[in-house]
Amino acid sequence: MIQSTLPSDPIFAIAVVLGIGIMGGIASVVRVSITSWRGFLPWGTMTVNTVAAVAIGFWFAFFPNESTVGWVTAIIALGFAGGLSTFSTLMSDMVFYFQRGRMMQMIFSAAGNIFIPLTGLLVITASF
Amino acid sequence: MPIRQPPVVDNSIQTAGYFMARLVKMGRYGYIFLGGALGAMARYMLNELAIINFPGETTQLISLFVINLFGAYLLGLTVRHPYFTSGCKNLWGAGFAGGFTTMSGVTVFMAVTDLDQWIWGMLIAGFITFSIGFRQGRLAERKQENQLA
Repeated sequence: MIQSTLPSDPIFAIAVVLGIGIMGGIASVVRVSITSWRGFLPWGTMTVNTVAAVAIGFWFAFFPNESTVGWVTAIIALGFAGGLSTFSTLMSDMVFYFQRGRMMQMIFSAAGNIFIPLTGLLVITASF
Repeated sequence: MPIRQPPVVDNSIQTAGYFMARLVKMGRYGYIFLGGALGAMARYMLNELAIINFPGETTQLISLFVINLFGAYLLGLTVRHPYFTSGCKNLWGAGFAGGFTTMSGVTVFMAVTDLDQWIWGMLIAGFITFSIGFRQGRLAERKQENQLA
């Protein structure tokens, strides 16, 4: 995660950035479609964040040697999963609850969006 | 006895309206796709720029802070600001700000490093920056309403 995944060849690097953009755009359309699912808590936001974390977990579980497939990892993890998961929508939900005085829902949505994706990621990486 | 033919109904206007509504809806997704693509590319480039120049966990944390706080501010601004109409709101709010910010990066960062306590600070700071953006947008909206009145 800390290492750079940008290829040294400039043409290849531009292709990787464009691939990340295409995957991020597709993931954004999926995210907007799912985040409209609301209830007591923002279930849609939790779902997209969890799916993104689990997708990264699956990817690193099946391909642990990321140096060989660095650009593919970038497109999957930073493009698709990064575009699918969202921090700003969580902030929007939290401010929405705060303005209406629903403190418990605000705290639960924040904790759920942190702990459920983290649990999913750890379970997936520990299972393989 | 002659067979009664069904009445001919010209519903071309309704059909055209239906297809126009579908096109508008697809246009909304087009804006979101474009914004999400721009956001993902901008996030990747910013992250790479930080990692290549200053490798380390702290750089990754600062990069996540900058990305998520700016995205939260931008989404808060697009909620009420009169400049952001429907297409522009989809492009910069749901598309760019949503694709620019990331929670999967935060999750992987929490799983890999021991700097978990900073993530809670990021949540509080994101809440504040979203509120600042929201308030700025609302002030601009009121200013425009007062000018029109």
